[in-house]
Amino acid sequence: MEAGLSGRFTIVPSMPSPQRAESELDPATAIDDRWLRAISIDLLGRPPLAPERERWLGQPLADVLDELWGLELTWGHWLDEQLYFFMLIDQFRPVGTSLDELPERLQKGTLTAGEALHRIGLSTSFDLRNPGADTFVTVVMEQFCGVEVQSSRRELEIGKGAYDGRAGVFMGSRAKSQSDVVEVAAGHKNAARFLVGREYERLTRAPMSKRDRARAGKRLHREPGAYPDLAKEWMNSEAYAERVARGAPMSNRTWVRAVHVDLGGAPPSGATTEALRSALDGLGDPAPLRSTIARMLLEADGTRAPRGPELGDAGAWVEDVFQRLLGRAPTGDEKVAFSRVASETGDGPTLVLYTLLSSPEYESS
Amino acid sequence: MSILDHLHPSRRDLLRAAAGAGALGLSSPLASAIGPIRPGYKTKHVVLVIMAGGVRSRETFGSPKQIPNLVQLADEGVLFTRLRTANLGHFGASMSIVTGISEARGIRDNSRAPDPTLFEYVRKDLGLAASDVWVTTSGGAQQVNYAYGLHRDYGQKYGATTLDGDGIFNEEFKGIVSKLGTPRPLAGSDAERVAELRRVLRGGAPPSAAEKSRARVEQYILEELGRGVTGMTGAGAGDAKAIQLARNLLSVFRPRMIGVVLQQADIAHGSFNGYTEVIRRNDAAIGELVAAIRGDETLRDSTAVVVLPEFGRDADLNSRRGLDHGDGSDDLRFVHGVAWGPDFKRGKVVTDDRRTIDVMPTIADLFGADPRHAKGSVLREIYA
Repeated sequence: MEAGLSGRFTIVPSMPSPQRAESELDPATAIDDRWLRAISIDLLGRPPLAPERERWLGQPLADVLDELWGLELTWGHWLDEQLYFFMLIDQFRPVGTSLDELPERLQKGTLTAGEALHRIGLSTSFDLRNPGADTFVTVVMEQFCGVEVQSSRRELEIGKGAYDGRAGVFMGSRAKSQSDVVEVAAGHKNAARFLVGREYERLTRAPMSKRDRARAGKRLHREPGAYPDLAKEWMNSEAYAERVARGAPMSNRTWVRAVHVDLGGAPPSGATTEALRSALDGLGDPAPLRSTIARMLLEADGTRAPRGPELGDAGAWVEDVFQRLLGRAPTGDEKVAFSRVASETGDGPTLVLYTLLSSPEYESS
Repeated sequence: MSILDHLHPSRRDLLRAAAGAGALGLSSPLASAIGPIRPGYKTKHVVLVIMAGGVRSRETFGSPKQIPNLVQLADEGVLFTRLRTANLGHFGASMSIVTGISEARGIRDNSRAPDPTLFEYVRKDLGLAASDVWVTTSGGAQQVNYAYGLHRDYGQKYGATTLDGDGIFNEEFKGIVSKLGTPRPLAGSDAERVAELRRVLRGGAPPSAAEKSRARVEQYILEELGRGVTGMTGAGAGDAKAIQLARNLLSVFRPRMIGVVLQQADIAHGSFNGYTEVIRRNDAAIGELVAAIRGDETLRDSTAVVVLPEFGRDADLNSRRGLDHGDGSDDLRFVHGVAWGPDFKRGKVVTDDRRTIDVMPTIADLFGADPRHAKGSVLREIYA
């Protein structure tokens, strides 16, 4: 078996062993650029920085996953994804609140993923985002437990009563306040099942089978601290290998960070990320605005492309940008054409980078 | 002339088009001469305004002084006094209007519907380009999902081009554009080089229609950033931006269809006064939109406007002196709606029950499109 887990579009078959489920990959296999980019985008919300690439490229998948899930940065990104799921964005985004401590506590293991969601449900931002008994209880039922409220009207009415201070049995437990409604839903067995289902889908970009969802949900309900282990299992599976081989469209927030890292070597500030993300989220098809932003950055301090004469070996530079931006080597034709343009004029590298950044392939890392 | 020269209209051309945005009087280089949608009909363009966020009839046609412009539209068109709403969650209710199917959706769902939308039916059946069908919104990331659904026979390639006024044209983004500088247009040999590199990346295949359309949208956004939409503030500013965008799009692209999805009336949960202010401001903005249409000789007698809320609100105030939406009352379940246009009756009032999901098949019928999967019925009584 080659060192990389996958080639450009190939899926390396799993190596079943008595210790591993059939759908698991060999955790000792070293990761290549394509894998590293995908893992980093999914867990950190951006491509790897240069020192990270140097550290993790060629390392065993299991080791890299262990290290990443032990980082506060990873949990910071996890929290960001959860806030987006609850649509706590723009004016509803919690800033400078007690939720800020969640990544550190999740990393240290003093808080579980389910408890973190419970804290989000109790936050002022969540309350402001979902005003009134009907909206609040509906969203709690839908987003914590995946309940279709239209077919659970009775439960909704009981929850609304509890929200307004009237005691009742809501989703199987007693509740008589707004915070009880959140607590009951966040601790419900369906919440664990719903969480594993949507998180599996977020990471692998594929739906989880009903059976696996039930099994993983049961485990998470029984062992609330098991979330990182489950996530590692999913990212060490053939389903995730398929996601890497296929590529996955980047969300706007990921794309904003990716383009800054790929051009300037560092992620943008939170404020810049939010402003650009918000603008991009305003388009059904963000490609035209992504193209505009890429061109702006290519002419800006800190993210400006090198000038043609600065390149030295244009072919080597093209090889490097293909590897870093697309996670693959250029084909023969691509290398010839891109090297020619890169070295032809001072603006050549800008044109090369703009072409790659505005390509559909870049948008599916 | 390079392919990119073709894809990107010149800056001068776009500026000329954009100059007419406020007045809607100039002919647009991006708009082509078009005929009526169906033989025997006069309508060429349709604007559908969905007052999402929940608006009761009591504060609209129950308080006619608040909405003089909608009242005038009703006087000159058709007024429905009992449109039964389809789904009481925000996202699902508006989605039901554009799919013509009452479907359960989570309030904070951020995903496409399984069914095709009005925009997809119209684009596919009439062979329209993306720049012919637009949606402007004010509700942020979630509302771009109205552009298209996931049905295998329709989907993204038939979706509407969607812009959220508060998203793209927010002050923070404008600040970044000012700081970084508007990019130079790609032209001449640079454009040719990029076109060649893209061709190589595509393995030699020609550019798709979607790529061409994206280039036009990119230019439009750059020009729009220079106009006044970004500066709107105050209660209902997001809705006002969405309506003004629709005005500007009518001027620049002369699209066949524009959906406008508003959202900010939902401020009613915590502020009844803020809610009524949003309704007044939206009425004024719709009035300006209609005035612009009336003032443009190519749109005046060929544009239809349909306005309806996604649902109403509770009958009684909540403990915060606001209005929620969940009591199951008629105030919540029934709304008024207006249809105004050259092919519609004038001064007609329909007092029988109709459904909000009937609006979509009616507009599709006006276009001669077949909304195969919709469950609503065509409102034939509106035709003159």
